[in-house]
Amino acid sequence: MIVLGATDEMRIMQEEIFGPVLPIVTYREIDEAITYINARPRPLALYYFGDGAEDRGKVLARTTSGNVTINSTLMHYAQDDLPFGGVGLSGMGAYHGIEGFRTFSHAKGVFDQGRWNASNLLRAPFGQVADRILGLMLR
Amino acid sequence: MLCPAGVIKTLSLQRSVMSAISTSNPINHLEDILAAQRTAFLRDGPPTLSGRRADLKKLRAAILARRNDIEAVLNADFGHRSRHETAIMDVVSVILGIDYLHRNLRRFMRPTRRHVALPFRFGSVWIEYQPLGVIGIVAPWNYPVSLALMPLATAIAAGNRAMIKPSEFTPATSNLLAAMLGDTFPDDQVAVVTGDAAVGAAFSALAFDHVLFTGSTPVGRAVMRAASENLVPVTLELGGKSPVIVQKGYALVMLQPASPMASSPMPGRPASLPIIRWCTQTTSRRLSPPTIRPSLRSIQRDPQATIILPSSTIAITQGSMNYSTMPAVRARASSNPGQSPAMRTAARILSRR
Repeated sequence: MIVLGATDEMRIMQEEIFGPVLPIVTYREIDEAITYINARPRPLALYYFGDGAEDRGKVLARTTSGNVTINSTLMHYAQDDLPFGGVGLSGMGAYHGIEGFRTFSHAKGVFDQGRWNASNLLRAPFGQVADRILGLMLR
Repeated sequence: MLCPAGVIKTLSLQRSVMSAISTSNPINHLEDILAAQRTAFLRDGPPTLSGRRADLKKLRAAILARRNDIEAVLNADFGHRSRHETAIMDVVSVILGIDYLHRNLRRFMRPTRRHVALPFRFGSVWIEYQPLGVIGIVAPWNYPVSLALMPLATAIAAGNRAMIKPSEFTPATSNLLAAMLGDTFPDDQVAVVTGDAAVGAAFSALAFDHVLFTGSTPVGRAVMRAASENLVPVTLELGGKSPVIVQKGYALVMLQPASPMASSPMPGRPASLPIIRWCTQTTSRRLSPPTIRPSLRSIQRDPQATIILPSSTIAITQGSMNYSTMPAVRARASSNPGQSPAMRTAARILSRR
């Protein structure tokens, strides 16, 4: 079923629809569509049907969504190497791709100090050496 | 509902397991599983590359061995769901995802060297990617297998243990997942807990090392609130509206379903592969070069879809509403919608029926 002229007050525009119902809204210029999207919570996915580079580029640059699929829907999910996730009210964080591996890992930074290092020279009692090193670092 | 014998066997097996569990307090039971997993994690340390790959292979084999069972239980839970839909969305995506992780795991696990700050030039700096520990996974009902198992595969690849809470709205699928993962992994590595919203609330309040939740924004908010008590980091895959922008000059031509038998294979999308084949075959010779895509059908795979059409297109949409309710093909429209090739083709196809 197609719902034309759907407005924000309608439940169909507020909740996820798990049935064969599609609300439709219209635009005259692509900027109108972009403004419409940006006036609402950031979507989990945005889909663009068309082959025009100009409008497409504008939509990609000016809207923020979890993912984008062009000329199809949902299939960004099937791209193993792309992070899948939302932004804003559509979620946070991502899995799939290396982003998924890192979501479930702790990135532990390790520093192994070498035998020779400037910090050994920056110890009390401070003197001329410390002043010279600081002078070098804070040029 | 007809089920293959294998499913009935696993389900009845699962029922006996579940009844054994339900005699104890289910919420204490959750904490027991978490404690057992954490103890095992600390005891065994991070799994090696080959250990993780072996676990991924085990998971892959377990899924493939139960492909028919998965298709059957989803069909049972949904009332009716195309086994092809299940195979494509719930099985293929996980299998390919596991293969991807298996292939890239060595690279993912390798520590990365980082730039050493100038005063420390003789030292070295790197990042090690450590497993977090125990991951809590909350899966929804719409793609109940892939949205549970893809996070699980990722958690395993990163060397973690995991507890999964599938949706209470897909009981047959949840039982199959519990039986399958119970046969494949020890409870202190992977555990499935089933139950209603109360169990779900208790689950999301557990002191996991990370929680991944897929579901609605309101429930996501509750999960994050519960997780904040223990400062558990969350990954939230939530709902909302997903806009579908149709570029000017493109029309969605709608055609009537070819067969009354083509009912909706699942909530969340309408029917009808036969229809698509029918109109693709009929129209592909006439509608060239514009490519023909089953665009509406695929749009409706996403329950969050809202179509945003150029207003010049709406005339076509409205014009063809008389004939049609359901999906079909995309075609390029001329500047005059009434005379567009898409409209003419649609009319031709419909008159032939």
